[in-house]
Amino acid sequence: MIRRHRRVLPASLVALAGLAIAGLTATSCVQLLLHRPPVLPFAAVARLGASLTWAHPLVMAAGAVLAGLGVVLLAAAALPGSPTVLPLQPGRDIDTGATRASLVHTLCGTAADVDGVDRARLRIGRKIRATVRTPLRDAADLAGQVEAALDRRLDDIALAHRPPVRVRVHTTKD
Amino acid sequence: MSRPNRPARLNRALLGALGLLLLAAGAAVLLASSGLLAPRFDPAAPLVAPGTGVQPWVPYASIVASVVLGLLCVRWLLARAFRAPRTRIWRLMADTPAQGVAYLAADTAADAIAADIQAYPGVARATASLTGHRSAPTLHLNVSTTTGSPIEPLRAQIADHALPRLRHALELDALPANLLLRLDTTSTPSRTR
Repeated sequence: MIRRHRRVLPASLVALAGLAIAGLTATSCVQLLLHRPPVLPFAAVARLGASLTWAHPLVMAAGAVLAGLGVVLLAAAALPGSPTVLPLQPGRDIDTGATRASLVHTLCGTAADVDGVDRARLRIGRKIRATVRTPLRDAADLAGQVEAALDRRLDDIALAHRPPVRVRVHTTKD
Repeated sequence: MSRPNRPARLNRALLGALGLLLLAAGAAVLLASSGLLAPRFDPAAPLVAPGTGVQPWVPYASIVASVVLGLLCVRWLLARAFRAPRTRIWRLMADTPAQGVAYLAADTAADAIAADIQAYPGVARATASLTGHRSAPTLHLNVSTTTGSPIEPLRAQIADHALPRLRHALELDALPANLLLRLDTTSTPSRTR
């Protein structure tokens, strides 16, 4: 089971823009019917439209902007984005996944629990990159210990596609 | 729609459709503007032909269209609030007509398996929903585990105990299920060193 972003942000922005356009148009039309000056300057827009030819650079620019917006929305719809749920190895009858945020959380905790580790940071991408800080002066085998701990945890979690683990150690005392 | 990751599909479909629409409109303007449609369409013509008047019904039609569009946009904005998969009420037929018909809200059955799983060691919270018709149901499980608890035994327990129990109770031969795990949702002091 893999899940990706719901694209809530672009969807909300477009919906809000649509709501604003609809509201302004409705308000202006009502004002027009009541013989009040409308919010949207229809008369000025009509005059502008009459004065511009199709070949005018402004019209061309407007067309380019429209097409560009279309490409942006298509990209928001089509590009998969990074997964929010990573698949685990399939079990009997059950399609299983774990949220990426919780995976980061648990692996980070695993690294931080290794003796001598002060603080741990971790990212999951094509590789699992852990960065640990230690007050130990001699931290030669710490990277190996952290890697072993992460490997044990990953064995249990059983990701369907297990990224290789890379550990970097920073010593805080020189 | 009984999908668990709502409203991902709605958002993708609407964004894609609007994107196509805008792209087509922009491309049409660019074509008209560049004179590629020259014999049929004169790029030297004004955008609005002089003397064009607005029909008296146009403002009314615009108001109706804007209100409909506005309501659709509100519905789209609210869609993000409805994230749980949609569930149904099942009709269970007895063996003989005289015994009558029973109705079961599929979610009630889901609550039972959620309670089962909640009692397992290492589980902090479990929710379940049962979607689809009785002939083709799908079970969606959301399970949060406690910090440091092993995953493999928990998955085995769900597959060997909770799921067969629910299948047996509902008299289903097969029940496709998906399980979403949130690992280590309780924090222990060791994590905050």
